[in-house]
Amino acid sequence: MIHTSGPKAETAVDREAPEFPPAQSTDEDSYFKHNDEPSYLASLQVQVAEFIKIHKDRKIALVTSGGTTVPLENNTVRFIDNFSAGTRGSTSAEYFLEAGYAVIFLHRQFSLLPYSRHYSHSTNCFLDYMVEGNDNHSVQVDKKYEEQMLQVLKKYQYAKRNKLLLLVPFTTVNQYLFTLRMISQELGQQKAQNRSTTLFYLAAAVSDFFLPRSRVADHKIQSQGTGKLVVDLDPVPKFLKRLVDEWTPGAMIVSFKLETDSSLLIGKARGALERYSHQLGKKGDEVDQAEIERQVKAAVAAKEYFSELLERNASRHVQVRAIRAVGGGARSTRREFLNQQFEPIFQARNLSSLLSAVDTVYDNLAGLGIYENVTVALDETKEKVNGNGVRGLDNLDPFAGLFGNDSGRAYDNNERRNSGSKLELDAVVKLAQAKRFYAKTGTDLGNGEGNGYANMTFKNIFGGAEILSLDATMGTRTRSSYIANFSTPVLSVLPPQWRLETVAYMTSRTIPWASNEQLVRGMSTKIKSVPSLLKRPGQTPSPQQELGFEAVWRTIACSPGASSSVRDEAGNSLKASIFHSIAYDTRDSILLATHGNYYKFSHELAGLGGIGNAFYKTSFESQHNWLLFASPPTTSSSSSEPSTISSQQTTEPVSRTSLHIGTKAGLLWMLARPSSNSDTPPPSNLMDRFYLGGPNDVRGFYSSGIGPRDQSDSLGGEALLAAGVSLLTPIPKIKRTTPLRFHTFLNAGNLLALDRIGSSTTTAPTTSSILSSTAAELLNTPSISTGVGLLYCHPAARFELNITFPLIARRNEATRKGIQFGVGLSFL
Amino acid sequence: MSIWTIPEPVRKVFDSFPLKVNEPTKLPLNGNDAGMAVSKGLTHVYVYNIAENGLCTDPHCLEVQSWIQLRNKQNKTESDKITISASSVHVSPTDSLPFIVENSHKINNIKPQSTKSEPVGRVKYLQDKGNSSSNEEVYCSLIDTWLRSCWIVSMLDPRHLAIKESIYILEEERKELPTQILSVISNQVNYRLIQELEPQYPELTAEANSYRARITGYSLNSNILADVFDRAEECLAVFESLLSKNKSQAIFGDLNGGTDLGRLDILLFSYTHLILWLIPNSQLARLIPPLVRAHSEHVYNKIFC
Repeated sequence: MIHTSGPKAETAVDREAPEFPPAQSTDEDSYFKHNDEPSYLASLQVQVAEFIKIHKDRKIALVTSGGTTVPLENNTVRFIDNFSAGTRGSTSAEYFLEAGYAVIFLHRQFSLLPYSRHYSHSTNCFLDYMVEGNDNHSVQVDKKYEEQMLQVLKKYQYAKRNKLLLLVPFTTVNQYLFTLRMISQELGQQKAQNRSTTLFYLAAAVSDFFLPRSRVADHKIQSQGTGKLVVDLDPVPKFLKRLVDEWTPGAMIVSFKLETDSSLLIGKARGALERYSHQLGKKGDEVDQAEIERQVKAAVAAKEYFSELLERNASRHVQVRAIRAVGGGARSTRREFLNQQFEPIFQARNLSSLLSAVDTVYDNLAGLGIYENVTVALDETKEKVNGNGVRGLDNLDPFAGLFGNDSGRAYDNNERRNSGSKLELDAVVKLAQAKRFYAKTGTDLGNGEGNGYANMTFKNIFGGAEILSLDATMGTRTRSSYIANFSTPVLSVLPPQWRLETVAYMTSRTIPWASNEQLVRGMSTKIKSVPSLLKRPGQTPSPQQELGFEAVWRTIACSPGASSSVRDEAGNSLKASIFHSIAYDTRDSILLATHGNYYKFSHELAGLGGIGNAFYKTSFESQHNWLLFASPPTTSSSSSEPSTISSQQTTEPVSRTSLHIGTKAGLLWMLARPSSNSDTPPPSNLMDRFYLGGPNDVRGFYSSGIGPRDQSDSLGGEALLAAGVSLLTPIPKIKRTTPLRFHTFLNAGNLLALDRIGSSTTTAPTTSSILSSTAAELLNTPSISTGVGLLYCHPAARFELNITFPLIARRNEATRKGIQFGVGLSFL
Repeated sequence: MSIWTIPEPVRKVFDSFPLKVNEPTKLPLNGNDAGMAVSKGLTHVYVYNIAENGLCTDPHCLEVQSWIQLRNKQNKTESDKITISASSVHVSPTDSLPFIVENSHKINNIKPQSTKSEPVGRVKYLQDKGNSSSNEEVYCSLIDTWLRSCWIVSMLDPRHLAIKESIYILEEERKELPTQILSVISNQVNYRLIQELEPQYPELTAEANSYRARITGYSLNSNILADVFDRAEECLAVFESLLSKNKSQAIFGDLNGGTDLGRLDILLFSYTHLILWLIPNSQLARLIPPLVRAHSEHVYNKIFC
């Protein structure tokens, strides 16, 4: 067989070209923002969603295959192509199907397909398998190929009958990237509870370069003129990191590295493995069927083998004899601190608890925020580790030592019972040091104000994960703010997931809705739990808590035009309080959640040691999110669009419509001073009260425009209740992946001052009567608004542009009828 | 039409949305009754402190209080009376007291006397008298400048720390705040006082602006101190001389022999009375000559007895 398209190996690849680093989120965002998605992507998404739904309880492999093109002209005549016939991908897909996987086959259009690849037109021409029938009027399969064809046919029909194969085509690199992202996200969403049953087998030959849409010629590039064609290509962002980390976290990834120089191959493949955290990857310059089969089987077997072995050997006795910490992070961290961190590994007595301990230690170390990367490897004590402390991947047979007996075979239950042996292990923890000092300046925009800031952070100051952060901020409302924050784990007292944090601060803020300027100097000390970085499938997140003490000196200074109520509050005051908050968050996104809930409960007790006024303050907020269906079922029959090997094409609806319900409630209860002769509590402070209204909570009102007001000053209230319902729907003709939505909302809220004196001149009202009458008024006289608008979620903040209609308001409340703009991270 | 103007059809749609209006909610409890006075339509004056004998402790405030006392004697109706209360300095947007809220709800601030253009306007507001004579302007300026400077220097004297705090820091805050915070506030008072000396002694203000001075406090140059006391002595000698020419009246009146208290009487009284009352053993008190002392007592009796 003569290959006419094989490149000369020695000149095909530029050896001097640098490796592109993994894409940052901005690269990816920028790519998808500035390039059009394929017009068929929405209908394709419906089919993919249906396919995944059908196989939600089955293992699914996404196999990419074939080469991508980079068009140089819109009405394409010329393009740059990555050569690939699709042999590896199509062959691999067959093996995955045999191994029980459902396969999404993302392939270059007209490249080889599973099963039909055996009889392609060019290599094994299907006509060569046919002979004329004896009657000269029929076609028969040549007897010598009959058995082979029958086997292929059976497998093909089995896959078709059970809808196990979805064929998804692409041609250009742009189509490939959009489709890959869409499928990954669908897999990530629909198999969120069991992502470990998802496998990516990325065998496509994807171009490293592309021509941005803005530079693509509309018509055929003319050959007159200089006679030369100079093309300036941009690098295609590397998406694999995002695939691993965000699109489908928890999935197994098998990627390939093409090198024509075998001396470079192992090193680069290993580099890619470490960079992208993939599980397997190697690709030579020759496509060898046996090698493909070995790789696929290795990928499938590794996953199943590991799960099975874990289950079978969960109670096997193991003991970690020593832990070796390597890397820059290990050198800069105190030995005793690391020993405390490693303690769970030493305490593990069986394999199951050991792996759990490794997870815990990884989570704790990564959560310290002082390491750029943390890897934990286990090895038999007798085996050597290589120079960098991590076992060589090329000799990887990780399961023989951990799970197997001397022959490398896995223990079964009988063997384990009989052997009674204890496996001694060494652990190697590689800690890549993050920058120990950095300084940055920037601007912030959100919650109705803009700020410029400078920040300096010192990490791991004393080798015990201590972090000192110094911030200075100046802004439109925050006239100045200086904050020094020192946090450290206290392993002798607190669990590793908790940190002790001490903050000293001085902030000066203009409060335009109450005609005053507030200067706060103080310090707080608190312990807080650090959120887990490991997202284990099916595991609910643990609640985040804070418990602390705060002492502040506060000054309220009146602005010109302040009302008499605000002037009454002018001056200095002290506050000493203990506070606690607990938050539980299962949302998939903070800014644009489609499912999950959020709850936060806070309380504060002030007046400790007789310092300042005494009060109890409590607040609660929640958010609930649901994804609703919206799009009608669709049917696809176009030959250019993907299809399953099945006759049924009806699909379930796919939606981006979501419903959100948020609530807020709060109570500020002033306490009479024990030293005071009066039972009447002192008045509450302007700075302790609740505020309500504005684009971030009850829309249709100005910021803090709801509740007690003196002239144009909002005084805040001591009892708060608010709720909001928002419906977000996709915008027609806008890409579904664009985070732009129609927004319809209904908000209600009420803010009251507690009547602690009452109207009776003889008897003071009781606590229960005050609370019940306040609750009744909160529920009976809410201020209500509604409206519609647009919502855009930038990675940094959520932007809303709404047309608001207040429906019910108190006479002096600051209503906002018309356009209202909101920016922030938290909305009702 | 501006691009921000809402088009008429859109406005009609907006206006067609009904807005149900509920009654306003009650305001949170207030700490004192100054707000009530304003809400009743009365004019109210915020001052630094009011001592147990009912007098303000700062010359500016005492001057205004004296005029209020005279005015309230003349106005029998409650609505015409002016109320007065002690407050934190932060009630005033300019960080200085007295601060007057007029009954029209229009807010007016009385600036420190070092602002030369202000006393005329202030006296016009309170006195409801005709234009003052040029001589009166000169004499008032002498007090506003040199007696004022010497009062400030005396307040900055570390020996008068407690007195200064009792004058310029609200009594409730002095009781509630710890010593460390009081010392910071005391330093802030010093800074404000020194800023008043800027027209006469710019180098002093420059020193006070330094970061070190804000932390550790101020030390006054001995040459400046000597100059301040010399000029205060000269100023008081002028008034001693004036009073000696009109011993029968014992007051300046309108400087033409009138029997009613004049602007100069009130202004001089507000300083000399406080000096003799609050820092009777100070160097400044010793500079006050006999006739000026008698004048102070005479004016006090006419206003407050």
